[in-house]
Amino acid sequence: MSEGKKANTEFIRTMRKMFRNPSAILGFALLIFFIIVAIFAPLIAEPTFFDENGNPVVYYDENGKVIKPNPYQIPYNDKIPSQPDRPSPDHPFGTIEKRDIFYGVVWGTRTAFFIGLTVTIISTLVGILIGSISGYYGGWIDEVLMRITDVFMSIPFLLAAMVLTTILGNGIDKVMIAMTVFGWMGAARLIRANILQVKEEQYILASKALGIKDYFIIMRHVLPNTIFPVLIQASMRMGSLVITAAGLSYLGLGAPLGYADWGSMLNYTRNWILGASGSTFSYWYAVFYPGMAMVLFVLAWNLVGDALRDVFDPRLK
Amino acid sequence: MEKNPMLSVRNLRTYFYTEDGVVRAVDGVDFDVYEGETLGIVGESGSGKSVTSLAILRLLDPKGKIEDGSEIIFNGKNLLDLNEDEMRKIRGNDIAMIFQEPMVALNPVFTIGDQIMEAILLHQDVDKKKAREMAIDMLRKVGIPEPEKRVDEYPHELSGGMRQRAMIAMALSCRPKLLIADEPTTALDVTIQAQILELMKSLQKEYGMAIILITHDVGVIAENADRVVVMYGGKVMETSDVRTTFRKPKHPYTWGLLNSIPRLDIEQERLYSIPGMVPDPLHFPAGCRFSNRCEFGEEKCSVEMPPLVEVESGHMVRCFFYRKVEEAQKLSKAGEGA
Repeated sequence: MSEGKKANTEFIRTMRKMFRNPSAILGFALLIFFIIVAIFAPLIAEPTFFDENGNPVVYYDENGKVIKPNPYQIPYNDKIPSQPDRPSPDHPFGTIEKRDIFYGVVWGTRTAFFIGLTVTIISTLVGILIGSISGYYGGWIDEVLMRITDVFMSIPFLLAAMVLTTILGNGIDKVMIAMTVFGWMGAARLIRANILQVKEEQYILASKALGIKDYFIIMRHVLPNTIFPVLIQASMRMGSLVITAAGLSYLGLGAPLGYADWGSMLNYTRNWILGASGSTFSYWYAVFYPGMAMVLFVLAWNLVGDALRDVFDPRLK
Repeated sequence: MEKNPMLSVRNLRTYFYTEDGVVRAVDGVDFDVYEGETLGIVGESGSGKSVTSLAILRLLDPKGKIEDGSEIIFNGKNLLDLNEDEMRKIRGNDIAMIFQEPMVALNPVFTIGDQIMEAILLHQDVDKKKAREMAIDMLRKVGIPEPEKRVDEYPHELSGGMRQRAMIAMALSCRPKLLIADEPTTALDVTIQAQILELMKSLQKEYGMAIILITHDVGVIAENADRVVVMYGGKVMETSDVRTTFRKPKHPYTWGLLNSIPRLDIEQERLYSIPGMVPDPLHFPAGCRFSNRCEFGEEKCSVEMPPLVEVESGHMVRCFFYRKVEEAQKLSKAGEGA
């Protein structure tokens, strides 16, 4: 009873501290905005089929059921010209290559969350596992695991990702595999370094003196004291991973053409990025809206990461 | 009078294999601890007293190795022969330890209740609710006010003295037969020190446990220990009951230590200090390890290590020339009298 109340006031105090900082408020506001967009994407931009005249149609299967279009494929609309067209009431962000940019940006939010969360969670878990074994046991186990980490770090990421996608084939999932395989080292090193420090703390020795098993010492005493920097790093990585995925998509390694992904939308603009002759910015909207979404998404995660660090890092208190 | 010791340390040698060479931190230490008594181990930093205590629980870091031929016999079992699982059952349950810095010996992310319960749940067959009751009970025993409330507090919410009390509660929660207290009061201020030592004494009486009290503070030993082991350079220099050692020290080092205590009954211009520095454990002097700082030393001392000899019943001294110390004491006593 009193325990719950106490935890509650502690929580409120932490929240209050977090939201005293305007940039933290901005970060969380942006993040919440993106989350809302991702959740309500089907309402904001309804997935539809278009017939050859560019009119919305509904297709039925043999049982008379409505066939739903794949929402992550930006609808192809023949009414829209191939070359970019400026924003209009029908297409608030403009169009490019017979597709609506607004639709792509909205559904791209989901793709961004999907890529970011999946890759961050898996690579962080792998990193925590390898880093904590390495740090806690030390000795030759540490040596072997850290040299493996070094090998992975020594391979240039873009090159590795390109080679891996060449082997596995193109696609969002392949890009995610590449980013996970070459993305766990930071977390591993960070947690190892923290564990090396915490391991020397007297309360670890004290718990050993009480006869507590290694597994429990790692899980109960070491990890809770080392995990926050890793979580903060993970939240910062969320944003940058989306940029990386976009970069790979831009290079044509990631999402296939027409996929609702900010990076592959920029891929469309390759031919138009320099504008028309004489007016460089004539197709600005083709780059601006997907690019802006990306920038704000990264900004949101970085600000959230900063806010978490300010609250949880005892050295900044 | 002749009881069997509950803990016998025999020829304990603990070497650290560093890149610069072998550090003989503990080099052939023998002592006994009897049931219900307090054994004080006193010595300067680097004398090997903490390493000795960690060696008993086998908690040395991997660089430190307990050499073959060492024996730590606890209730008839050599702890050095046990495997890690059996050793874990001894730790906390039979032999518990409290540490110097109560500030850092409690995990900051758990409530003190959680930490006490962890030990109880580990070694005793009770459920969480019972363990919590036992934890509250323990906190009350160590004199923490409002234990029902304190049990849910985090270490940073307690003062240093309270934390050390919580540490003691944690260590004693499984009723160990032996408590190793490594500088338990060094980090506390003097009034709190006295309270904590008083608490340890009364709990010792209640539980009938033995205590190994490790400190560099001769005063703490004098007031709280029954017997004393004086260590220097990883060796036992003198051991006897507290009264004998402190009234009539026979080793020059012990005498030096006692002389360095400020006294109120005589006027002193300047406090005595033992000349020289504690030698680097990589390069102990040949022969007696105290020889380079000793005022009574002769040539023989820097060649040959003196044996630990029994000069009176129960009073062992590692010095060739302990008679000179006796003489010097008589002279100085006479000087004081005049």
